[in-house]
Amino acid sequence: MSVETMNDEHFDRAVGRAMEQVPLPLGLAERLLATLQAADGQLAEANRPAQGSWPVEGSRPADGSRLAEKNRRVVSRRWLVPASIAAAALVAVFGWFVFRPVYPPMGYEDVIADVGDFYDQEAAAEGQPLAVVPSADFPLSSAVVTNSSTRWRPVSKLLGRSTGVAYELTSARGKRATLYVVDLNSRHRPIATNSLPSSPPNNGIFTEGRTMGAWSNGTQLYVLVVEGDDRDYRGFLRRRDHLA
Amino acid sequence: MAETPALDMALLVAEQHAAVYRYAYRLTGAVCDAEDLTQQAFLAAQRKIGQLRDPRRARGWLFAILRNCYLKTRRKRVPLSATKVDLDVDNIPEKQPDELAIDPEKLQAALNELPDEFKIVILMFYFEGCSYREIAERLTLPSGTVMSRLSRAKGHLRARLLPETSQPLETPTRLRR
Repeated sequence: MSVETMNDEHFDRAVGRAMEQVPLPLGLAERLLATLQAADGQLAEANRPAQGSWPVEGSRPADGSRLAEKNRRVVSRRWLVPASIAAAALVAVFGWFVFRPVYPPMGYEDVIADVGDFYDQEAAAEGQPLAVVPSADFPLSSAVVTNSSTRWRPVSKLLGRSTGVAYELTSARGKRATLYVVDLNSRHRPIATNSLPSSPPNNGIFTEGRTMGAWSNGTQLYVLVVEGDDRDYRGFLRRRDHLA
Repeated sequence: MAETPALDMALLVAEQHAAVYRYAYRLTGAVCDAEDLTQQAFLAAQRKIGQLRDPRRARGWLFAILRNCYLKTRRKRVPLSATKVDLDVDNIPEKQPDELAIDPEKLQAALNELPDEFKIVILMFYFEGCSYREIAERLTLPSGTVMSRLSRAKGHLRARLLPETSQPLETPTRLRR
């Protein structure tokens, strides 16, 4: 665990301790119990007349059976099966229309959360060196720092896309990062391009020991996941004057 | 023989009133409001005591009731947009001293500056020990939203609470909502 991550945990522990430092008012428990007992008595009183007020069973008029009898006369038995199938089909079409999944475009934070989950679950296989050229559809971003140890591997099912590329990066300080690249203009769940900056944001979102940032060049979506804090994250950015 | 609800409530009050009050105080920031909120939460708990099947989860159950009571009392007030709050998470000091002691009153002042949607998330994280995924599940929010709120609220607490001798980060920028 990095020193920076430990500092975050240190801060969390300190805030957690301070949160608990609240003096209790004298006699709080006694006052609560007295209030609860008083309320309990009122509740018991209020519930008593309510019992027995339910309607008497069997008082409903029995005109449902008359309607059914009439329908039986109108609908011929030989049309019953085709009519049922047609009705079921209509219901199915209507149901599909009403309940079909309509996904809203993913915003910046949705992208970060989804890629974070993917990163957690992904078993990173051994990648290939850049000398073995990856697909031109998923080029490496010029905004990130690469070196001779940079490797890449294909990924699938990231953000609902069938294909993509993960670049494995290592900084001069030995920090590790993964740059995911997927096609932005896919037929899969849309991503709100107006929520994405055109270059890496200077401050990533820090959670669970890693810092993440996303950006787009209009065609590809890039998500950088860095093991460490904001300083480590910025260590992977080629220029230091990017604005979110 | 099953215990009567009155006995259960007495036990619940005895064991949980301190934690519930502290949570209420961190939410409201005032002694009187915290006691009122604690009382509301226990009254609601008394009405719903039958829903508590596992007594080991009593604290989390009470915290959830407390949160709902708090939000109900706040609903009538004009909500404060997060964009109006100076969540300057970019001026976050990089280093802290080894022994970090946070003044509980300063902490409360920093919490009071947070809009409810941020405060609830940060208190669930620190008081209830929830991960951002658990918070998202319990509040039925997208995990990205929770992650962002947690990150920004923590950044706000850091900026307010960490010693002033620390260096701010380079190139301050504003976070988007």
